[in-house]
Amino acid sequence: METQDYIDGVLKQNRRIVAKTITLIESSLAAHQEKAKTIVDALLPYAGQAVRIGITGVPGVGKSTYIESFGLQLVKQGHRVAVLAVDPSSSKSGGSIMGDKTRMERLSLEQQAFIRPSPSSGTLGGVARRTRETMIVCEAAGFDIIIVETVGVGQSETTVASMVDFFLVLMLAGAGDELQGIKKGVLELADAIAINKADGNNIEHAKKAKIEYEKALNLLTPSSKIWSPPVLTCSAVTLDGIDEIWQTILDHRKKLESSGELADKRKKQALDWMWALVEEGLRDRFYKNPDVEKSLPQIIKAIEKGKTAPTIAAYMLLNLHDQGFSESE
Amino acid sequence: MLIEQKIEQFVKREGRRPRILVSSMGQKRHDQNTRQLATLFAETGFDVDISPLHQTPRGTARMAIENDVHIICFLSTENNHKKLVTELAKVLMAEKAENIRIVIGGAIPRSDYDFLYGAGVDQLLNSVQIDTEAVKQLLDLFE
Repeated sequence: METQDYIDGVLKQNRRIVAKTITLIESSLAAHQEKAKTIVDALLPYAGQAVRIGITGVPGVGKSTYIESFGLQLVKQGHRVAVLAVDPSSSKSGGSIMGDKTRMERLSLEQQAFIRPSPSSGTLGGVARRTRETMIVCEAAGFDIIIVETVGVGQSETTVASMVDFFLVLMLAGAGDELQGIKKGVLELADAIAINKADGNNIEHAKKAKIEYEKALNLLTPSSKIWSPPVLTCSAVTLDGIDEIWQTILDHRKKLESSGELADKRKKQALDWMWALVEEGLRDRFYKNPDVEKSLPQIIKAIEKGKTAPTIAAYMLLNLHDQGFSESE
Repeated sequence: MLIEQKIEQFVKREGRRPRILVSSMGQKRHDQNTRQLATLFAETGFDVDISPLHQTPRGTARMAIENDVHIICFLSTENNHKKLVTELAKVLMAEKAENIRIVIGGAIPRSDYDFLYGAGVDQLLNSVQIDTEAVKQLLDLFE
């Protein structure tokens, strides 16, 4: 397929070609990345209108089940929903198991939905670039709501929060120790917290947890002048509270739009995007520099044997890279 | 050649790991064998997608296309593999995705082999257990 075939296919909302374009974006081959860049550039003018939502939460909080219920409701209202999920790859074999769709049985069959799990393999920076570009492709293909799902461990939340309009953190009501194990950093990123599985015997626990979280949020300085993150409760099973969360997202959008904060946010995101690309490019050039590649094994060995200090080794490697750069100029 | 090397070659050629959809097509529930199969592929270095329960051939084809997998794999447990394969191949063809390979395992009588290969199956696993030798053969399909 030629570059133009991809562009036309995405704009015609062809599911197979949207999928193939995402594969190009995720590819580690330079030729594929080159092609993907051209395609994304061409699609950029057609993107940017969607509501971008990030959803995170620890494993077991019920993210996939929540997205199934939430997504189905949005589809029913006439929206077209794309779900992008990042699944951690095994560091041992490099392989991964992507089982999100097992819990999105009905949404995965909807004509108005598109669900694409991606393995996280490689660096975190890589995931960020790929997810941003995939978002553009989905928006150009007419999806007006983009949901990015991440596992609530590690730094991936910060990355995802920096590319969406609304960041939803799902929590569980525990037995009185709600705040244990929750990183303050995650709360700071949240535009709303939703306590999931608020059904049956758990409703009372959820209500108590809600008060705890509200107290915790009060201690934080809100990142927006016009928005303080609410704490909600919901159940992906009884569907209680699901619509309230959607209304909260819409309310947030309206407020940010009228105050101009949304435009500022998108501007800042564009800058974040640029810096992420610069950093990825620098890293890439460093590792692909022939001088660096040649000397790296020796230098690593020297450090392992204790012959060279890490500080000196790093300095040497960076110098090798700089020299190669000035020679090619 | 070691399986790791074969996977590495695949990644160098394709720009990503081999991606396989383990479908529950034709099954009433997720059985142990399907889970084992998925784990084995992931441990070998594949990216593995697992389908929801009660998946139809149409649903399997859609998921395979959307996730852009190289291979669809399923185990026959209800002795309806002929019908399922025929339907699956038909939908893939209609969606211009006939290059996705079909692999099927489980208790399949020898007398069905010719029919299945003719209907679009690329590889038959002669049991529910799969070993690295079978995985290597599977990767050979792409060379």
